[in-house]
Amino acid sequence: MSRGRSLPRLAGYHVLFGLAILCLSALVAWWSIFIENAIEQQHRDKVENLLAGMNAMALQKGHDRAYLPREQSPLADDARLEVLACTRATNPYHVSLDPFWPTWCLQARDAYLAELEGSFNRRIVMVAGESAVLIVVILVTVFMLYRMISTERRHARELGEFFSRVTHELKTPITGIKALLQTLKAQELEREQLLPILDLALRQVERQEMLAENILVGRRMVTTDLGREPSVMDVGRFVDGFLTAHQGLLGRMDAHLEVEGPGLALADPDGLRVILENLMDNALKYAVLPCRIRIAVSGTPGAPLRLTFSDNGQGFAPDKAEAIFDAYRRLNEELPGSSHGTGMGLYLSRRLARRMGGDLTAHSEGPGRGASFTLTLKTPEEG
Amino acid sequence: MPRILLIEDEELIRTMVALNLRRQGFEVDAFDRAEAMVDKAANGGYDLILLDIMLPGISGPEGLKRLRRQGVTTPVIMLTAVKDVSTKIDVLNLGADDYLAKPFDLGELTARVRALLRRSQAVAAPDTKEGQP
Repeated sequence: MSRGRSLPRLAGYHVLFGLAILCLSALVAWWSIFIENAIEQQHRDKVENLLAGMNAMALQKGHDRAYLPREQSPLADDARLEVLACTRATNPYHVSLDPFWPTWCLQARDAYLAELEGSFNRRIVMVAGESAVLIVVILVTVFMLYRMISTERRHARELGEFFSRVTHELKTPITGIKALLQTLKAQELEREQLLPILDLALRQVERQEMLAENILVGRRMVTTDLGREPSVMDVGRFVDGFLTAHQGLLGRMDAHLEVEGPGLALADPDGLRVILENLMDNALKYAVLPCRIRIAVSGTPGAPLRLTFSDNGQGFAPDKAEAIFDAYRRLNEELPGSSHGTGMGLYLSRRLARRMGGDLTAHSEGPGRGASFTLTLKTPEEG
Repeated sequence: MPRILLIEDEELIRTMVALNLRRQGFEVDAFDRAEAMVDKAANGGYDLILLDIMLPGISGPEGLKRLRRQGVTTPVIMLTAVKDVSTKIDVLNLGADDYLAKPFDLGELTARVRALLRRSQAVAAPDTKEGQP
């Protein structure tokens, strides 16, 4: 709903950026035209100076009306000019001499004219190039600013949604447990009726625990070296211990552990526990009853240790295998269970796995076909 | 016996609210998705709907919008953990009749349910003594 209200503001940003691009492009265009005019003016001034110089020299030196060979002409020494026989002046660089010397005219030397034209063209090309570069720089800068502001806005929105979800995650279990306690205070319930409700309440407490743990892990990942100094541990035995410690959570699912080969790897026990808890929570959240989980630890000499966590839950579209690891992202907003969670669990788990020198990847054949998460860890030989 | 439709995806809350309302003498049908509400409430027969805001699939406010668009005027109380003023205004503007923030008190929930039912019944059946000679 708040998205609806922010739309006009968002459109305002787009319009603002559009106007900024237009204004800056117009400024560059104006600047280019101004510089081009200045260059033209300079060119004209040079030509006029040349003509004026030619006239002045003709007047000074043309008093001798006798024909002189070209090399003896009074202007022969001037690198810019030459005296030629011509019947009429057809361009601004041909200057007729005084009426007593009509068959001769002064002409700017071709080399000098070519140099003038070349200089003019070079400067025009330079201005055009500079303008183009400037426009590109402006466009790139504005585009980057636009991207930056869009990203900032997206992050702010995601953070807002994250806090909404954290609030939801904090308050929802409390609501259920409060309702249970109020009910128990006011009336008695049959044991058969109470037991499944207590299971639900316990699950809520575990969710609270998981939330607190993930927030703590997120903070520890920023402030400490959590996971950066893995030690050699027996992953198979660790998972076995983990399953034993989480019997309460596993009461509603059929969990199966397989260990093949040596299960030694470099891992951080805290980090590994957080990863397993998040994978377990994820499997429970998107479970399809009867919920089945298979954890396989397989180690082959010379290769990373693989821990595969598979469930028979709701799965996801194969093209979402990477997106589900994004921060604040949840598997599928449409699926039952998707209104729970903060969207941080898988993100933190992958970061932890990578800090330990390994990786965490996901795979699913599609919605309704279960999901499989593979944690790879370095072996002591690799480390 | 007043019939209540409860839409809440959190199983513990759904179970406890339904249990308590049933003990208070209400007939309660509970579901975890708003899609169920749109189908069920459109067919009528419910006196009140308790609707969570954050639901998988169709959200509570979206479900409410669809409900009102279909012309269903059953009173609706929204339940949610988000209690900022803008959300309250939005859901009330969408056609909700009341709003209860989590974690709520079961006694308050029951009192609000009764109050809303009284009001809607009073609107449905105005006091006929008024205006009589």
